[in-house]
Amino acid sequence: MDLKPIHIVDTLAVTPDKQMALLKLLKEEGIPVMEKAGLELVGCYSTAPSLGEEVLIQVTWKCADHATFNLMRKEFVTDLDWWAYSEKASKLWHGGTRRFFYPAPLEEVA
Amino acid sequence: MTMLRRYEIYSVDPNAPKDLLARMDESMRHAQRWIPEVLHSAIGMNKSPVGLHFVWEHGYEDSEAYKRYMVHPFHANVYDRYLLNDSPERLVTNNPYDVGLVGFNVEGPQYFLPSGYARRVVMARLKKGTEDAFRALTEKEKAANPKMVLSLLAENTFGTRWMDGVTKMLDDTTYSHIWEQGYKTLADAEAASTAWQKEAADMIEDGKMIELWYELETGHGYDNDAAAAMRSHGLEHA
Repeated sequence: MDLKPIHIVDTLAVTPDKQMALLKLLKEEGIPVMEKAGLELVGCYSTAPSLGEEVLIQVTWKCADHATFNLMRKEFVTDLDWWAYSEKASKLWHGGTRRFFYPAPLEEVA
Repeated sequence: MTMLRRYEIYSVDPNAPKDLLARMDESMRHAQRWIPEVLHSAIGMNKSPVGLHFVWEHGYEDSEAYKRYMVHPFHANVYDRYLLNDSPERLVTNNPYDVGLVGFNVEGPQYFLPSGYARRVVMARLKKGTEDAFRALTEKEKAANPKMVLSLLAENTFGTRWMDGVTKMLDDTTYSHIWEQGYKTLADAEAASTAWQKEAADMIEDGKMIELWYELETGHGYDNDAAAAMRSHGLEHA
C-alpha cells in the first residue's frame, strides 16, 4: 500500500453548545496556523447539533508524504500560535480521534 | 561510531483513559517492533517527586537512522496521536520542565543497562565553565557508591537539535547536561546519596536541576540489540 498522499482526519467531539465556538476557533486560529505550516485544508464538516447527541466536527488535511509532513510538523510545533490554538481547542472538545488515511489499494482487490 | 541517545519525558493527563495509556506505553516500549531504527527501547514510570511521570529512553545508530525514524509513518500515526497538543487523543500534559525531548551523542551504547535494572537521571543546567568540575564530581560519586553500576555525563545536545539530532535549530534548552546513572534495583536508585548536590550547588545555574528514577521496562529486541551493538563498538557488556 502506497502511503502517499496523506489525508489527516481529525474528528473532534463537542457538546452541541460548543459547536460554533470550536468552528470559530478553527476558522480564526486553527486553520490559519496549519495552512501557514503548509498543510492543505481539504474540508471541514460537522454533524447536526439537533440530534440529541454529541457533535462531531471533522477536519481533513492533506500533504504529499511523511517526509513533507515531518517538515510541516516542525513548522507548526515551533509556532506559538499553534500552542495558543491547541490550548483553547483542547478545552472545547471532550474526545475524538486523529487518523492518517492513504489511498486505499482498490486496484489490488481481486 | 557516534550514536544518538534520546529521551522523551512526559507528564501524563490524570484523566487519560487507562486503556489508551497502556497502548501508548506499549507503542513506545516495543518501538522496534514497528520502527527498526529505534534501539534499546525501554520505558519507565518515574518514582521521584518531580511532576513527570513517564520516561521513554532509547538510542539510534546514527543521525541517518534517526531521520528515518522521524519520517516513519508509525511516528506520525501513533506517537503524534498521543503527544501533539492539537490531537484530540492527547494523553500527556504541558509541564514546565522542557524535557519532552532531550539526549546526547555517545560513542557506542555506553548507557546500556540489562532488563530490570533501574535508571536514575539527573538533568542540570550547569554554569559555563563548570562541566569539568561537575564531571569530576560524578566520577567521585560513582567511586563512592558501589551500587552505582553506570555513570554517564553528557551535554544535552538533543534539546536544541530534535529534527535530526545534529542540526542546531533552537538557541537554548533548559537543562544543559544529563547524568545517567544505573543501578541493579529501583531501591538502590532511590537510595542513592544526594550529598553531592551540596558540592554541585555552585555549578548549577539558578538551581535548575531535576532528578528522576525508574525501573526499566525493556521492549522488543532490547537485549539482543544491546549485545550486538556493544560488540560492534568493542565495548563490554555492562
